[in-house]
Amino acid sequence: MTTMDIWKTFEPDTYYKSFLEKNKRPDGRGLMSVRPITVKVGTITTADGSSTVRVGHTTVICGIKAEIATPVLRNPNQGFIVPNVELYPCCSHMFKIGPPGEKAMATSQFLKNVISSAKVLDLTDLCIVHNKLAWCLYCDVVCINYDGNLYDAALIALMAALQNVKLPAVSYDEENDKASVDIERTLPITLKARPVASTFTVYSDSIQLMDPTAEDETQGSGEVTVVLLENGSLCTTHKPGGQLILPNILDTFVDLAKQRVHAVNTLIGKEINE
Amino acid sequence: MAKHACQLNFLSRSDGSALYSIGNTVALASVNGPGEVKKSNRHYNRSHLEVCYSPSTGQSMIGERTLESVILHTVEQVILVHLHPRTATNVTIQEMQSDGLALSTSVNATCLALLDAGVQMKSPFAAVTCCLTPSGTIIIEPTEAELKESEALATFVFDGQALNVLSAHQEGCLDSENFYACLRKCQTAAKDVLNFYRRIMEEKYSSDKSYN
Amino acid sequence: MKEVPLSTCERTSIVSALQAGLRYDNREFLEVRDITLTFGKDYGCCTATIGQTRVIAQVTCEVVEPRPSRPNEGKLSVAVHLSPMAAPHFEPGRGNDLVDELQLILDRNIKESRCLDLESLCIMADESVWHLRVDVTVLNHAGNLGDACNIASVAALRHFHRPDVTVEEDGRVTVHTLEEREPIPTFMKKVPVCLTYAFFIVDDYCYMLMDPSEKEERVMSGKLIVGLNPHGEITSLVFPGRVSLQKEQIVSCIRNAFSKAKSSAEMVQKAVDEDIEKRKSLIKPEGFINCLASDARYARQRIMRKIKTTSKTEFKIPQEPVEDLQESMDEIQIKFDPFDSDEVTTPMKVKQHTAKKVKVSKPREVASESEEEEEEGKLTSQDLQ
Repeated sequence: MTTMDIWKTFEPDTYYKSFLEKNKRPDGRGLMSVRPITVKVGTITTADGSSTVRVGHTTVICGIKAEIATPVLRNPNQGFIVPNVELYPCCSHMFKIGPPGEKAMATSQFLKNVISSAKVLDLTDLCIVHNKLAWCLYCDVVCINYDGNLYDAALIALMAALQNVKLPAVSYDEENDKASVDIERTLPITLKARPVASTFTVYSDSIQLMDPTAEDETQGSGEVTVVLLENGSLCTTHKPGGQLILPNILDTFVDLAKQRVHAVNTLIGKEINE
Repeated sequence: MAKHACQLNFLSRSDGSALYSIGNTVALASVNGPGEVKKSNRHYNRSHLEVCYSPSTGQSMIGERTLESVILHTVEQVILVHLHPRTATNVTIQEMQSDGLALSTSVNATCLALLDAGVQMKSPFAAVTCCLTPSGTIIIEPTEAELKESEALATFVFDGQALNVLSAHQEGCLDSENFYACLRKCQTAAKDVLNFYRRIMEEKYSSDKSYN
Repeated sequence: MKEVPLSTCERTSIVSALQAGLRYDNREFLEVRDITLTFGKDYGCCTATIGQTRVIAQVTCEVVEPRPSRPNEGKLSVAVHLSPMAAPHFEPGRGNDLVDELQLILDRNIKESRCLDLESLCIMADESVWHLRVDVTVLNHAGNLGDACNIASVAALRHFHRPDVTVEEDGRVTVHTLEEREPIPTFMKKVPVCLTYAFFIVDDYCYMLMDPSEKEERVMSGKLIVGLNPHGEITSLVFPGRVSLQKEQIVSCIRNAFSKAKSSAEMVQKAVDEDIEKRKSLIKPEGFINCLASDARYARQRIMRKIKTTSKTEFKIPQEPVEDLQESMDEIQIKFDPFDSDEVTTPMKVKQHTAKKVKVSKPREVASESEEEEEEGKLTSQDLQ
């Protein structure tokens, strides 16, 4: 063990603080710089759409499985999209085995919220036959390695996987009420918007960190996530408690997030086209 | 602004409780603690906080759990948890009547229940919800019918000292101009809410209580 | 958080008060606390209070497929929830004996008594029926949850109006919103009433109390929960606890219950009808905003009422001098243990009581059945655990 390791183990707070005083983070980044992102699509061959995303050490896999279901009475011409986030103990010691914890549930709800408020998909596109058949997209997001900033990684993975989805063509025979699936012919789904999330950790009134690692998250107090669309409009702000922030700090967050939207979307676009 | 109403010390079995209503949304919050804690939740340096939100119908689902987590992180920041190590503080919120403002009503009910229980806090906190109509006007504390029509909805929780943002929750798209307009409107509304808190608390401790 | 244990002092104090013919909240033995019913903004939402016990019930409905065995009957289900709000020692999402007991009472009283005409909930036989779901949540536990839950859910069910539907030719069901069409009220044939009797066995005497408070519930030897309706039918009898009673006592309990059932049922009916009438005239119902009175206010009201009545009539002083009571209490702490041993040496003389007193046999060894629905020569039972 080096002296630095010993220092980190015994006095994590002062260790961390000494970096911040120099406007650096323990991994060498500046306060507002982000980690490199890699995106791969089609990583799960059995799924209808899939992607693997790495944000620094945080690794997330998203697989989308399409099933045929009956629409609900209230919305007879709409399909379904069901995002679900799983955090297994293998990705971090923070998570325990058993039913989904608070973090997993919050992330699932976050994804659901983003999809509905950004209107990513027109749910009527997923309808096959009015009041009879519709697609249900089960989007399972699994974290393999957790090193902070799950919201961003999960949303990138979900968006990349959605753009990778190929739905088989379905023909419906009205006379004998039967549907047949043609696996050979597949169609992609059209996305109406491509939102990108940017998460910041608030350390103190004057220090905020973009794209936090797990260490940043434990040292800081509370995250702020802003989700922006390509046209720069705010689609979701999520700040569940944590350190107080002044409204003008939110302004700088939005500006930084705008740059990230473009960078991430070109990255996904490049990967899809390959 | 919709009408706010509150009754403190609503339940006899809880350490502190408050029935709070904004418009037609009514929530009941109760606080117990600081009290005994399970071994697995015992922290050497702070009180363990638990928030439980129960809807009026059915089991609590993922939506309610998210609400719980927002309230938990909000409350955790405000109450002085380090004063009571090795204890637990439980907050339970019951939805009594829903009209679209579940989050802000529950947060405000929680704050008054905490004040009623005498739990030490840095400052009170107040939540305000607003929505943006398709025509571009901002409605503070809308009804459920107005929410259905609206484009976006935002809820902010402010602290009682400098009115800084403690929590924020947004659904639907807002451009940044509208977002700040919402934020400023909610901030002014939060002042009224905090004045309302003060009135309620003064009533509680005033000697000439009307016995009716 | 764990439940605060009840001290021996408190136990003996409650018992000796009973022996002096008094209850902690200054009630007669067969007196029920004040019952209030308040209705929410929506149909089928009701809070009931019995004294400081407070329960909220909400009815919701959805269209489902019927059971194949009963193709033309709707469904009805009742669910009881106890959160830490009711009392700090309840844990969220985890069942306990009390929830099971309440669930049992409500299932028998409301679901299995067939008080609701389930056939009227049918939309299309074999295809679709209404499923009514009653969610009962206890807000404050101050004793006698069974009665409170029953009153709240009965009132909520009576108050409930389900939306109108139309069935189209291809068998699709369209549910109309409340604004589109006038909703349909539920039809309740018989109003189920639930009454709880608590028994205290002290020195071979059995004290019978109605509507026990939370403290009394923790001290009592056993209880009998009678579910009945004003048409003279018993729908359920639940008899948990370590107590054995003579046949006559059970019968006298039931007779007393029948005498109270009518007024109780009428009270519920009247409250519901009044509220529905009000809804017709008013434009918008306000719901819970201003009409719910807090427990603190209820306690204050009771004190004020007490002061008023005592100023008019003379205050009743217990016949026993205070020092005497104190002495006997000291003795009780050492010797008095009526719940475990058969042979209790009696340190107290039997005193003159204002309330009804029944002779009872010695507390027996516990029998094996947990509940008994028939009235045999002697009813015995065990703690529900």
